[in-house]
Formats: sequence, C-alpha cells, structure tokens
Amino acid sequence: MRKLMRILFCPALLFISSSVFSQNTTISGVVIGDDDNEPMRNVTVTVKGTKTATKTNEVGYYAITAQKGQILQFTYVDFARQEIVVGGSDAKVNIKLARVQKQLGEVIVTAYGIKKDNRSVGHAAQNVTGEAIAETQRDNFANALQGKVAGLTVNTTSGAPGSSAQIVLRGFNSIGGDNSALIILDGVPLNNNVFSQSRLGSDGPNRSNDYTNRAADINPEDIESITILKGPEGAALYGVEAGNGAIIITTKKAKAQKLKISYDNNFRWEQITRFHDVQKVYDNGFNGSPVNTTRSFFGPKYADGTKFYDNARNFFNVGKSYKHNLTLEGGFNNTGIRANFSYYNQEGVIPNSGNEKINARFTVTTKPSKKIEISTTAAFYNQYNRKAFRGTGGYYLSLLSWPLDDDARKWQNISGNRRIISKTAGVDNNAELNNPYFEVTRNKNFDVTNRITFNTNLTYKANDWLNVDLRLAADAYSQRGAYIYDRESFNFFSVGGRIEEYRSNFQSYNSNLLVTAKKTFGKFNFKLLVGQSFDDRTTTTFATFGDSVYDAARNLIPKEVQINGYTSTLKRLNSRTQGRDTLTLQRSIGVFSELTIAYKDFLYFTATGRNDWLAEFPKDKRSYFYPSINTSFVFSELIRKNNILTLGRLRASYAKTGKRSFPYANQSVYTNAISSTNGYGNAYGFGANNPDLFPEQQSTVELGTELKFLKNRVKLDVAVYRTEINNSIAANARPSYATGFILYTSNIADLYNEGIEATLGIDWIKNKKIGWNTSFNFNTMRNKVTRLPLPEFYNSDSWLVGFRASLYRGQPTTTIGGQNYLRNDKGDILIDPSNGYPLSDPNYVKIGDRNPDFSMGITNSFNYKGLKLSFTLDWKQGGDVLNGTEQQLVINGLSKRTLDRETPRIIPGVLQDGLQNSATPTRNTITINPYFQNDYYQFRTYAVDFVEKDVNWLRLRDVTLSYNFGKKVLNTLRIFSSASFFVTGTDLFIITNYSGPDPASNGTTPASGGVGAFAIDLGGTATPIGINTGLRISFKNGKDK
Amino acid sequence: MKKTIIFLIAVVAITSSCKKYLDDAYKNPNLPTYAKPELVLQSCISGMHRGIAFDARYLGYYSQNFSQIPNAGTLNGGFFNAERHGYNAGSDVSGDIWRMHYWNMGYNIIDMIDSSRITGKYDYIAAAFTLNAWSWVTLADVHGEMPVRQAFEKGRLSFEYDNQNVAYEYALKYCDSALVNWEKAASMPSSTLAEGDLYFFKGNQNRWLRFVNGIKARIYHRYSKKGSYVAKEADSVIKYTNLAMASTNDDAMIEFNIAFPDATAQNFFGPRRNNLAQFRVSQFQMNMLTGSATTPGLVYGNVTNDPRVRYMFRPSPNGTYNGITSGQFADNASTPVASDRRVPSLWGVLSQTSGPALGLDSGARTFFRNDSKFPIMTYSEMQFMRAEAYFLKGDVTNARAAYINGINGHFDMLNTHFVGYLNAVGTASPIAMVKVPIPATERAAYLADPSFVPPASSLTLKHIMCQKYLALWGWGFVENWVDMRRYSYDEINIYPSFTRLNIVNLFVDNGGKLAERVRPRYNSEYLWNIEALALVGGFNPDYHTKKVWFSLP
Repeated sequence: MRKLMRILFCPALLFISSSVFSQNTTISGVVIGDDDNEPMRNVTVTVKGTKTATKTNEVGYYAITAQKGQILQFTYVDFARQEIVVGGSDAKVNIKLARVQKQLGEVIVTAYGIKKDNRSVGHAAQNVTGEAIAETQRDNFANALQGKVAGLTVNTTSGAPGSSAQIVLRGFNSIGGDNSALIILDGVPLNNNVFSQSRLGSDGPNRSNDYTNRAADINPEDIESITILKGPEGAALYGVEAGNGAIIITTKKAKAQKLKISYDNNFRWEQITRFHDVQKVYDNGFNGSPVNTTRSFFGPKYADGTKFYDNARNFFNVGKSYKHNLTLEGGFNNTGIRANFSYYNQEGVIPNSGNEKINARFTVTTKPSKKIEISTTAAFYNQYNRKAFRGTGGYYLSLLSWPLDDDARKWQNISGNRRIISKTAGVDNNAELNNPYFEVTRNKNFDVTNRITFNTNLTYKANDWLNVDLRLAADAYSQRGAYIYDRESFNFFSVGGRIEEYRSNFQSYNSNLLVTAKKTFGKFNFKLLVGQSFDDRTTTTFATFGDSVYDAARNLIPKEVQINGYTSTLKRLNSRTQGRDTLTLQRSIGVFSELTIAYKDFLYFTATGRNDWLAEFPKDKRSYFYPSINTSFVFSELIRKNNILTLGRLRASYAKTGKRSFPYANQSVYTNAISSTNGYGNAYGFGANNPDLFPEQQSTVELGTELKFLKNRVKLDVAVYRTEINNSIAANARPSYATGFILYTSNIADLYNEGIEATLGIDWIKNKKIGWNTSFNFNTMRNKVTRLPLPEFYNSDSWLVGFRASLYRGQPTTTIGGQNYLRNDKGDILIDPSNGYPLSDPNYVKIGDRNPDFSMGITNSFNYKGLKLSFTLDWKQGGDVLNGTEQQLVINGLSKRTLDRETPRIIPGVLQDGLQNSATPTRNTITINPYFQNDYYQFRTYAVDFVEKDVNWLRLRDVTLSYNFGKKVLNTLRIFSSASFFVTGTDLFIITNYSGPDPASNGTTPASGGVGAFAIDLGGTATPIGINTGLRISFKNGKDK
Repeated sequence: MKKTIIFLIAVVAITSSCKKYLDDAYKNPNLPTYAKPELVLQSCISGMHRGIAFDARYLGYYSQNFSQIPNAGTLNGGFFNAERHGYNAGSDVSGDIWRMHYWNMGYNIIDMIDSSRITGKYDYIAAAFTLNAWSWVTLADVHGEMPVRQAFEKGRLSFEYDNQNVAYEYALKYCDSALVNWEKAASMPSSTLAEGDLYFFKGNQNRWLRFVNGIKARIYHRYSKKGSYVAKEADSVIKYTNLAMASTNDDAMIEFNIAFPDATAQNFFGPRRNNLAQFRVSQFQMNMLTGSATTPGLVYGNVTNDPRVRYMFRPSPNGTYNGITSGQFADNASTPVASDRRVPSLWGVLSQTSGPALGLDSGARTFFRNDSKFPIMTYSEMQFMRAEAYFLKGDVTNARAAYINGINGHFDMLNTHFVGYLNAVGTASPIAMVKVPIPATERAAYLADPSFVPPASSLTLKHIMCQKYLALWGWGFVENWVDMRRYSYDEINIYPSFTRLNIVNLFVDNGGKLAERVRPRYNSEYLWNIEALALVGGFNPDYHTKKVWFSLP
C-alpha cells in the first residue's frame, strides 16, 4: 500500500522538487467536505499561476511547497473553489470545501459518458443532480424529472404502484415506433422496455394492464447525476438510437477511502382525493322507469331520504410504503468500493395493489496503475408488482357506476360468490361489470421481475494524449407474470374464467471501445475520438392462456388463488389453451468518431459521424451513416471582463440521426389459414411487412445561447430547435386493400417538431447562512405531420371507444381523432329524420390537439443553516384532454351533464332527408325528451363533446423540508457524522380547469409506440397525494479526527 | 509484408464474422417467411369459397335466390338492406370478395408465382394465374370500377379506379399466362399439384385447363351488350365454352375436409357454420320449379313440378313447395303464414331463428350440408352461356342443343356431386325422403315437354336465361346477378315472376332503382382510398344503382 502511495505521490514530488526556491514553505493539511465532513480524496491543490499542483490522498491529506504570498487553490468537481494565501512558514492548514449545486458551465457528461467542458458543447444539455431526484422520493426516477428539465415531458400511465412512465424529450418523433428517450447508465444503454401485451398468447392491446418501464428498476439513491441530452444533436454519436435524445445517468461511486456507512429511510402515506363527480338525483332504470337491476341511471328520482354510500371514497385505501436504504462505501489502496442495498414496499391506494422492490448495487473502482482505471458495477433488482386492471373493464368505471344507494363493499352474496345487482328472476346477469371489490380481490394480476446488470469500464491512459476506454455491459432480466380472471368474472364468465401466464427473458450485451487522442497545435486544441460498439439484445417470451379454470375433477379452483401457487394452475386449464413463443433478436454494430477543435478558449467546433449496421434490415440496406456538427462561441471571452456578464456564448448545431424499425418488419410472414376447405394452408397475415423499410431519419437544427450574469447569480439558457422527421414508419397502418394487405407497414410520414426551451436560474440570496434560489424551466413546442399519404393513421391500442390517437396530414402529431357530428355542406348538424337524434360522421376526424401551449417548471430552494425547503411547481398551459370517463358516465346516466334530462329539446340542425344540401333543407322540429328517451345519451354522445379544450394545470409536484443536524447535535450523539430529517409532500395540490379529477392520464402504455394515448382519460384514477418522511444518517467511523 | 497479410486476413475475418453475426439476427425465427406453393394454393382455393359464400348472403338477395325471414319482426340489419337492394353504410358486409381478391389472393398469388418460377413448378405458376384471372373477373363482375392498374404496386397507398373492362382485359392476359404455363406443366408436371389442389381438381391438369377456358368464356360473355358482340365476342364464347368443361365430371368444385377439427374448415353454408338460419328460398326461384296459378307471367305453364324440386328443396308441412316473396318480409312475427305452409330453412328446419341441433345436416340438401361441394364453375353454366351466344347470333339450332346440354348438365351435377335425397312425391312430412338420384324417367319426361324444351323455332332467351338461373341457383350468385343486370332485371321477357320491388320496399337511397353493383369494401376504400373513390362517384348515395360497364351498350 505504501508503495502504491509513493507511486501516486511521485508526480507531485517531482513538481515540488522542480520548483524549489528560497523562502519555500510547505503547507499541508486535510481537506474535508462540508456535506458530510469526510476527508476528500483527489482534491487538486494548485499554486495559482504556476504548474505546481498536487492531489489529496485517500485520507484527504495534502502537502505542497510554495512561496510566501502565493495563493493555493483547492478545486474539486461540485465543490466551490477555495483559495488561501501562503504565509511565511510551514503550516498545517485544514480546508473545508463547500459543496455547490451542480452548475451549468462546469463539466458535463455527454454521449458515451464523455466528460466535456460545458462551454465547448454546441447543443442543449441540462443537468439534474442525484440529490434533486432522490429528494422527491419517487420510486420511479422518471417521475422525479417532471418540471425539472425544459423540454422533458413525463407521461405517466397511472398513479398505481409500479406503473410505467415514458420520458419524452422535445415531443414525439416517431408515429409508430418508440418515442422514449434513450437511457444510458454509466456509459452503456439501459433497457427501458415496457412489456408489450402483443407478446401474450391473447395478443391484447396495451391498455387494460400496465407493466413497469424497466428503467424504474434503478434505485434513485444510486444516481449521482443525470444529464439530459434533449435533442438528437446531443446524442448523435448513438446514431440510430439517438432520435429521442438521451438521459445519461452517472451512478454514485465510492468517494471516501475510509469506511462510511449511511442509512436512510422513507415512510410514505398516500391517498386519492379526487374523483369523477356523479349525479345523486336519478336512480337506476331506463327511460324514466325504475329498473333496479341495471347499472344505467335513467330511472326516476331517488326517493327523499335515500341513504347514499360514498362508494368511491370507501373503496380506496390509504396507501403506505416504506423504504430502507443502506450504503457502505470505503476503500483501500487505490480501490473504492460502494455497496448499496435497498428495500421498498408499497401497499397501493387500490386495495390489494402493491409493489415490492429489492435493489442491490455493488461498485468497485480501482486504479491499479497510473495508466489504468477500472470501474465495475454489478446490480441486482427484484420487483414484485400486484396490479389492478384499468380502462373500460377495470375497477374504476365499475366503482363509479355502482348504485349510490347500495353499499359496494358488500361484494359477496350469501354463498360467497360475486354479488350482482342486475339479477332478474333468479338469473344472474353476468354481463354486469364486476363489483370493484370483487374485481380487485378475486381477479389477480401480477408480475415478478429479477434483473442483473453488470458493467465494467476500463480506462487506459497510454500517455498524456492518448486514452483508451473499453466498456462491457450485460443486462439480463426475467419477468414472469400472470393474470387470472375468476370464473365468476364477467369478462370470461361464459368460458369459466381465464388464466394467462407469461415468462419473458431479456438479455443484452453491449460493448464499446473508445479511443481518444488530444493534441494542441498553437492556439488550436484537437481532440479526436474513434469508437466502435456492439449491441446485442435478445428477448424471448413464452405465454400461454386458457379458459375453464377448473381442476381435473371439474372443481372450481379455490376461491383464493394463491399467488405462489400460480404455476400449478396451468394444469387446471382443460380447454381453449393457446400459447405463443416469441424470440426477438436485435443486433447492431456501429463505428463512430468525433472531432473537436477548440480555438483558444472561446471557439469550439465538433463534428461527429457514425455508421450503423443494423441486423433488422436485409444485407444490402443495412448500413446507415449519421453525421452531426456543432459549434460553441464564447463571445464573453472577447469582451472585457465585467461583473454583469460573466459568461456569454452562442451555440449552433445540426445533426442527422435515425430510428430503428421493428425487428423482422422487413419480412412478410405466413400464417396458418384455417378457413374453409381442408383446414390447412399458409397465407399472409393481415399485416404486410415491408422489405423496403429503412430507418426513420431525423435532422435537427438547434441554435442556443447561454448567458450568466452578476457573477453567475443569474443564469439563462435558451435553445431554439427544429427537428424534421422523414419517412417515419407507420406500423400496421390501414390503407386500401389494393396494397395487397389489410394492414401495411411502411416509411410514409414526414413531420416536424420545433420549439423553444429556456432555463433561468437565479440565486436570490447566496451566503454562508442563507440561500435562496429559483430555477425556471420553460418549454413550448409545435408539431405537425407534413406528409401522410393516407386519410388517417392511428395507433390501434389507443382506439378506446369513439376516439383514438390519430394523425392527419397538415395536423399536429398530438391530434385526437374521433367521432364528430355529421354535418351538411353549410355546417349544420344532420338529424336522423326517424327520431330527431344527431347523426355521426362515419369517419374519425380531428377533434382535439393535446399539445400544450407551453409548460413551465419552477423550482425554489431555500436554505437557512441546516434547514432546507425546496419545491417544484409544474405549470402546463393549454392542450386538450379527452375525458372519456365522463363519456362513460353520460352513457350510464351518471354524469351531471344528464341532470337536465327532463328538459325536452330539439337538436338544432337539419334533417338528413335528401334535402340537407339543398337551398331549403328541412329544419329539425322533432322534440326529444331524454328522460323518456335515454338512448339519446347512450347512442348519440360523440367523443367530440368530451374533448376539454385548453386544459391548464398548476401542480405542486413535490415539496421537501429537510433539516441537517448541526455539529453540536452530532457531537452530542457521537455516533453520526451527519444526520438529516426530511418531510416531502408529493402532488399535494393541483389547480386545473379540467372537469375530471386529473388531466394527466394515459389510455395506453408506452409499449404501444407512436404518440400513444396520453391526455386521454378513460377509467384512470387520479394521482394520489403523498406525504413522505424519513431520516438520512451516516455513521461515524471511530478513527475520525 | 507478413504483418500486412495477417492484418488483412484479420480484417476479412472480422468483417465476415460481423456479417454472419448480423445475418443470424435478420431472419424471423417466429413465423415462416416462406411458404411452399403447395400450402399457399390451398389457402387461395379456400379463399374462393369464402369470398363467394360470405357475399352470397347479400348477392343472393339482389338476384332473388333468397328471401329473408325477419328475426322476431325486426326489419333491420344487413340482410334486410340487401333484400331491399340497398347497402350497409359504414360496414364491411358484402365486401368479402373485395377482401378475397386483394388480400386472400393478392400477394399470395404474386409470391406463389415467383417462388414457383424458381423451383420450376409450372403447374403452380399456371394454377396461380388461373385463380388470379378468376378472381379479377369475379371482383369486376360484382363491383364494376375498381383499382386495377395501380393495384399491388409496391409503396403505393392511393389507387385510382379503372373501368370494369380493364379488369377483364387483365384477367384475359392472366388466362393466357395460365394457358402457356399449363402447356409447359403438361410436359413438366411438378408431381405435387395434387397436394395443393386436393380439395379442388385433385392434381388433374386437364380440368384446370378447362377451367381456364371457362374463365375466358365468361370474360367474352361480358361483352354481350356491345355492338361488336355478335360479330366477334360471341364466337369467342362459343369457342371457349367448347374448350371448357366437357361434362359434369369437369365441374370446378371446391370440397371440404369434414375431418378437420375446426369447423371453420367446413362449408360456410352448412348448419354447423350456422350462417343461414333466416334464409329461405325465394318465391321467384320456387316458381321456376313449380309454377303457380296465382302468379302472372309464369315461366312454364306446366302445373307439374320440375323433377328437381323434390331434390333441391324441402316441402312445407302440407307437402307443397313454397318460397318467400322477395321484399315482403313475410312470415314474420306480425304477419305469419299459415303454419302448414311455412317454408323450411335451407337446412330443413322450420325455426325462424336457429339451425338444427348440434349443426346436424341430415335435413339439408345440395349446397347446404356441412360437407357439400361448392361449385365455382360448371359444365351446365358453360352450355347455357353457349346457348345464349348462339341465340344472339341467330343460330337457334345450336342454341337449342346447348340449351339441352345445359339442362342435362344440371341434372347430372345434382346426381353426381350431391348426395341424392329425394322427397317422396306428395308426402306431407318434410322428413321422409329417400336417397336416390332423380329418376331418369322423370328427367326424360321433363325434357320431352315442349314447354320446357321447345323446338328451335320457339326457343326464347327467356328459356335459356331461366334455365341457367335455375342451374346456377345456390352457388352461381355472381354469374346469375351478372345475367340479371345485363338484362336489366327484365321481369317481362327474360325473368318472368321476378319480383320487382316497388319504391316502398326498395332501399331509401335507391331512387326507385335496383342494385347494379356492390359498393367497394368500406374499410378498404371508404376510409382509406377516399379521393380515388370519390372520382367515380363512390360517395353518391345511389352509387350502388349505377350501371356497370357490361350492362351498358
């Protein structure tokens, strides 16, 4: 160990000896950090204005020789620089460095984890510290990013435990493919799949169930920092994977050499406070007549004094969760080790829902020689998710339509079976939606995931200008899950219930090799990077489903299905069993290069190029090249130094990137054609795969500026961009059958996204005791489909009821298509002459646009001594939301919109009697009285009436109050080196003009691809409000001081 | 030098292993990307049946093969609209031939030709061209204008409509390609043809060849209203009907694998598939077989029943043979017919709503059993077509000869291809029947009756077209409807007793006109090929009453 230390100190000693003068003094001491009072390793100590420098060793010790009057500088990333004046004699000076909030303008991590001086970067990139993420106490780190980054949108699928979230940077770039940002963990891609139900035996759409996005496996406590490369220009080095920008995550490594044990916990309570409103005036029935056997509420008025039950509020529990997180770090010689173990357990607000996570991460960093540095991480993740079905057949719509004069909690009848309201003459109407308690108790829905990731990073510094980096990563997970519909469940009643089970295995291997050379010629600095990568992903899924959930003796399976016993249930299926075995291989090879030229310290130019070879395309069209250039001009270097403008620079960039197509989409496949005649035979399936598919192309131009004023107290960063997407792939579009197919996949659409992003950071107060800073993240986007040779393209998963995520030529990509009224040439509503009801347009037309006018995140942070208060507000202005739940309530007579049902009316319009487009159309004079004609609500409510225009919200995303115990307390307690206590509230309030409980809803999951059904609210529950509290402590190591 | 070589070898080794590495991941491991023509041909053949049978439920009303028993008095739904010569807005019903042609045949045919070329299976190339030609003719017969020249063009997403005759010209071209390849196949048979057409021609190339000629005859026959017909196309019809089926043994019949566990492999018209519960034989068809004292404009004055009636249909409980008058929706809940005159369903049951228990077909006749063969083209059809061509040319002698062949062909077809169940004469019970062919004596008596087979000088088009209608009843839905439209549904001179629906019973958008074409499939054209469809007037409310090319002079 001493030998190694000597080697380490060699360069420092050399410097020292070479600068021996008279009046030299040796200054030595220990550097500690103010955040944890731990010694800091590798702090650079420089004699200002000279080349003399050293670094602190593993116990934070430094020693340096300098002359009297010279200034010593102590610098370390993320810590404020400190300077001391050298006195006349040798002295022992201990230094405490103050940690500062990560600032723009320092070092930034870019593609492949390459660290760059921020001023040299010619594209937008934004940093978020791990602390800011952990502070929000979200178990899915994606949810913590909302409001903290300009241009970043998180589309959460629901507020249920383990639900998926999609991170979208700068809008939707692909009409059919994945729009989630690429996630890079310590330099290598991290799989962020959401299990797609198309891999199930039943091949379902991605709307009734949800699966965690796999990046949520990461423990937020392991994140050191996140850099967001917003556009493809930042991520251009990733070539065909770069289209959606990238989230670059750097995990924590051991900081101190000394053993450090820290522990934190978090206890959370959450509750749903917002529900759809239902009317309490009319009882169940039809056309004004009482029918107490229906879930439609078109009957007479409730009798006075009817006892109502608050079924909705009764149903939801107070969700509880807790998390324990233990970190050990330390090291020896030049090796640092960090081990983290966390356990998370959540009981959701929906009864029987929950999420349990175990997360272990082990990182070793070592520097066996001056030239070599190795960092290796192995992590294990386990997740067990218990879920409730959502959407049209889910518990929520059933809960809302349960009669208010009946206690929904009584969900069993005398014999223990499902209690059914619509019981007629002793016959159960099993078509009735499940009682919500039955639904979440008897129907099971869960998945279990075990995952291991491993990556190792070898850096070889051949000499002072050549550097070689090799990264190898493996990521493997197995997911198994099942859902079980009880045999009494309405969904599969006729076939005796259903079980579907799947096992999915994912494994990926990734390697990349980066060679970097640096050279300075006069005032020019050159840096050339050449790299190569392999990427190999395999997914196998085996799924089976079957009905008739009976055992061999025709006994029903036990009422309480044991989750752990689910493996044996497959034996119980005795009919209609079907399976599906899917293997997907995705392979690619890329070579890439980046050249950066810096002129002095103010003009930077970077060019990148990447060639990808993608296995999903046939040999002759496998190779694609993606170039990018960017430049950064620090104009403030050209003007006199002043205190007003500290830094000013301009950026410009252009990048061409791409997006992969779907595996095997270039090959049409045959299916079994069991039609008439002999029963055998092969034929093409509905969908035409397309041998001519090629990757989607994106080109982005971005201009930006970064300005810092008043000694960096005010920081402004503005970016303007435009991304053109060409030949976006429409998967399974519907064209004319004259294509030869019913569904057709091809590169057909062009679109663009453009927008302005701005971040403004202001340090209002910044001194040792008090700090107050505010940051604003502003984002506005526009998007449009410029080419689409079809009348409409829609995402079939999003086709929920009478609406869907549709694309039309010349319209925004975030359009909602749906049922609208049929009108004559003059725009009058056409009326059915036989009944006076309005008619609907058989084609789905644009009925709304979900794109907001702008969104803004505002984060405020105050600190006074050890007390810190921070909160993030999320403001969204504009953008339509489709309230599909309300439509369902209208159809069932539960909506307050139906309260005027006793008012007879004539729908304004003209009769469709052949004269509708003549000069003298027949005005409608047919009176309808909805009280007696409830099919007016049931069959004549069109989606267009449920589009809520320009929905705004202001949410308090999270607020945290924390207190760091001061030295006094710690000294008294003796065992802690640091301790803090926090209270965090999440989603405590929302102010919105939306009529439903929560405008942030999604009708599909990210697995459906394309734009998906965000801002389409159907049977979704509101995000619960939550309160967290916990402690963070690190233990004192005896040898301190 | 040595180092350079080693380096180059290493580069080559790495590049080629990378190539293999990527190649290995290219091919879809989950589903076949290649299918043997032996398997594809089977699905195309079954597609013929599916397309025709699905749409027969609508075409069969236009041509008054069928009438409907409304379910519990409700006069709604697709069949109701079809019986009123209307259409079903916003729906894919009666668009199955469209689906069959563009999708079921579509690229399956194109790729079967390509893959068979590589392996030199000329019989499969020929079979593919044959089906392609048949499919184009069938689709054009039903829909009139449709995308032809731009269809199947790779990368194209909107398709201009072509006139109907363009499709016939294409079909003719494909017939010629088929003939060339059948000729090659005659000397180089692949020996596996019987695998692909086991349920059709069973590997008999000669029958395929006759089928191609039959398609050609049909194509020329579509020119009957054109000025050139008598001088030109009629001779082609005569020529190709001669080269087509020589006897009922050559009939193009699709068969079914009754042993296949999935019922979807069985006859669409059989009770197991349960698609025709509300379907009844029309009064129009029944009049052809029985005549009726109460109906004016009878085809035949003879009160004696046609011997085929006992074979094709089941009597009412009172022993008489009855049909349901089109457009009247009789025998519904509000206007029931007398119970002893109720018309049994095509499966022999009296229930208005359901088929026989367990899908048993013991009461069903001809085309309506679970394993019945389904004719695509027959000898008798060819002979009637030939009779019409001779007749229009003025050669009544040859016309009469072909006419007699046609009638005999139908008798033969029933006796040969369909299990002979005969109702005992005059029986009151619809169940009593005997499994025998139509007695030769009855056939001879029938043919000897001059009201059915007049001397050449008295032969009329009415005789030819009505006997053809009768011979094609229950399977030749497209051909029958082509004929009726060619003759403008002439209920006076050609189809006496055809029930011309009055304006009250007709579909509201028709403006008093009868259906002349089927609208293109909704989910293909009305939603996704809007501009091209609008150019041919596809969005006009009465587009389905617009006459097609072959009906116009």
